[in-house]
Amino acid sequence: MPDRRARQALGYAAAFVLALLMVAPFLWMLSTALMDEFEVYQAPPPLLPAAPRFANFPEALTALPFTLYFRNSLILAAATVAGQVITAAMAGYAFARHRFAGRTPLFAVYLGTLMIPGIALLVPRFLIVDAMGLVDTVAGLVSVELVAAWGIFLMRQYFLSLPRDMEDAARLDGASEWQVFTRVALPLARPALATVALFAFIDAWKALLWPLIVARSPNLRVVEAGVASFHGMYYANWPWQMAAAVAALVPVLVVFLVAQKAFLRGLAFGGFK
Amino acid sequence: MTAAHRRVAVLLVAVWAAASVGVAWRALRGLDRSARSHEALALARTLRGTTPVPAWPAGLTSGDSMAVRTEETPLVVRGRSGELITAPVKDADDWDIVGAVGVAARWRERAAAVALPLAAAFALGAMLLVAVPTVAGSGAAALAAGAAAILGSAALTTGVRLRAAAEALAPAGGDAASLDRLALREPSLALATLALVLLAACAAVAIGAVRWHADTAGRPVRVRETLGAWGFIAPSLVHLAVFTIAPVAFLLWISVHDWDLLASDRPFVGLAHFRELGADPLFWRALRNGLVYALYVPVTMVAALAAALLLDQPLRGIKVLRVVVFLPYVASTVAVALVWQWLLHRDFGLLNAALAAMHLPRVDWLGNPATALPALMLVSAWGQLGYMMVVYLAGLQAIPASLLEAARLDGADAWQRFRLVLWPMLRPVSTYLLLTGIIWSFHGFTLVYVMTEGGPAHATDVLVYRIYQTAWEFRRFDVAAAMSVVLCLLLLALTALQWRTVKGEPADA
Repeated sequence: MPDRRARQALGYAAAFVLALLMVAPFLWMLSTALMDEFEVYQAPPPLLPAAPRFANFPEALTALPFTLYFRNSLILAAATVAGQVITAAMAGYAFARHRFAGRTPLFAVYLGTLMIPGIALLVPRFLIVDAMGLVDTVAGLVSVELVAAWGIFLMRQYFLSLPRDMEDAARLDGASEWQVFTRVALPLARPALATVALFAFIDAWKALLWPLIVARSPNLRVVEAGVASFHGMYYANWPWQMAAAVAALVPVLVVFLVAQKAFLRGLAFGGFK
Repeated sequence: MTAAHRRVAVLLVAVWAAASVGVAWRALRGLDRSARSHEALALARTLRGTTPVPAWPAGLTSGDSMAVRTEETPLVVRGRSGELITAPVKDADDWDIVGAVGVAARWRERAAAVALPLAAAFALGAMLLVAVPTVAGSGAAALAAGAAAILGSAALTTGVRLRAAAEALAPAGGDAASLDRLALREPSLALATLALVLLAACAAVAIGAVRWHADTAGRPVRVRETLGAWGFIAPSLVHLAVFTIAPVAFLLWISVHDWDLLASDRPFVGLAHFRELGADPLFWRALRNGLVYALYVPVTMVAALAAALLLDQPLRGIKVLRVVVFLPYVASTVAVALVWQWLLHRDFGLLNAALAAMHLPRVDWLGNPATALPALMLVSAWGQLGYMMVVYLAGLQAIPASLLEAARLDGADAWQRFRLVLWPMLRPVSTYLLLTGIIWSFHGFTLVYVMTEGGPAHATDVLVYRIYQTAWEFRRFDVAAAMSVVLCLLLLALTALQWRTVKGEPADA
């Protein structure tokens, strides 16, 4: 069937163009990161460096204390992941498994918080954190994203989809509620936990606005803010800027590629938050 | 009480004790970090040129006054009668340190400040050993009361000390009140007490709950289950209360009050801030920019749908593509913004090189008010295209093949099949993508911040960026709050619309 053949060829062409479109800027980033500082100032620009200059990476990453920034970003990401995973698992489990007084109104409250755009709460959140004396501290940096209503709903849906038989069996064997949760329910919910953790990590790694306003001193900067200020300082040195950008990308890309399955599962649940 | 319960109780008390000590430490240090960053800066800005730099109080020698100029952190200078803790005050550009303010602490106060928490720690330990396993309720209450008293008094002494220091620092002719504010902000006694009471209450509730749980064997199942469930929900509920629910109320409150970091009174002003916004052309500009910017969503959706239609067939390697298209979303936004800025560079950007190769004129994408916003829309479209394509692809694959087959047998051509079968079936997906996309578009900050800073000539100034600037650069938190209320209402309306179209989907409790 020539019709189907043509259609398939068109499909492959579309796939190729789309993939190229998505990857090209990243390749360009990498290519520029390996060029000489003045090599880039040519018209038309060279697509590949004449001789790859790997020294850009150590040079760019030591021009500002990026080790410190990476440490701060890791702290932020680790705290966010831990906070969101633990609270989402606990609350999601309770909403899915327990019938208790006040459940319906409480669930309505949680749904309500899902509606409120966090971006509109920047000012009061900042002033509250400020009043707690946490501006310019690690605690203030990690505070606001420790709980994600989104993750709670994902966990709840997941627990609802799991059979309760094993939990009941554990209860009959005399396990306490806490043991049922940690020993029986949680291991079964590992895929959903991975999804919550992955999105928490990506969001924390990409966060810029909150770190910008709450972590004001240079030694609390996260990578995103560090690269942004690097951009301002080395405005004309594009290879350095691109090297810093590549470095900022690597952790989150690695995590994403390792955990794509969890990513697609989160997408199926409700896409981007 | 089992060993496990005891472990939990000990853990709770330890956490609570650590938090209390943290609060106390902050109160005692009397040097709010924020005071040395934004407050000192704002104060210096208002006082610049009008008030002399505060002098050192007599009786204290500054060990090395030059150090004040270079040190970012508070400096402790030892004197005969005690210590002077200083913090730098910077000039309006946050560049030069134009002065320093200090707090003199006498040794007696310091000793009390150290002794009180120490005593508290001992009391805590004793109570933990004695009270928790036996009489939990009274033990927790005693702990709470003791801690509140101790930390409250600590905060009080700090406050007193600061006020005394401010008076000592008052220059001739200046009024002490203005310097009171210039001096490091007092750790608010009310706030410190509130924090402590909250901490103590949490500790009491937690310990009580653990105790209760420990001997629930005899209680009805229903009560036990309710208690356990609330325990599971408590952590997230506390966080939501503090960082989501309270801020909503607080936001509304700020938006109708004058909120000046320097003034202690915050009078009710009604809708004045909203009227100010209404009269501000930049606000309308930002709103309009946001709406124009959101147009990239439907445009990208069309492209995504076209791609999905082409890809909706058995193709090898489609799984790889499905991962690749998410790279722009996953990638750090600052990195993406940088590479696009480089791609869009007027003289050496790849995009303009391509245009030149086609003998088209070069475009100053980000430097021209007419093209800056479209350039940002292009970047956003690039970032969302793949995601939308995957969602459409899933939507297409959910359509039963029999429907299309039936249409084909009825003699419908490709366009009719699309218009009469596919499009109606895809409508829920499209509505979802459109609304979430628009909501998402109003969150965009990083691209604007890195690529254009709202410029040129406010061409890319969007609401979030205006809020950021108004609050953290111009220090008008009240106006920024009013703007946030507008943004919040806008997004709430969109969210409500979206939830109506997927009625009942998440709300099936």
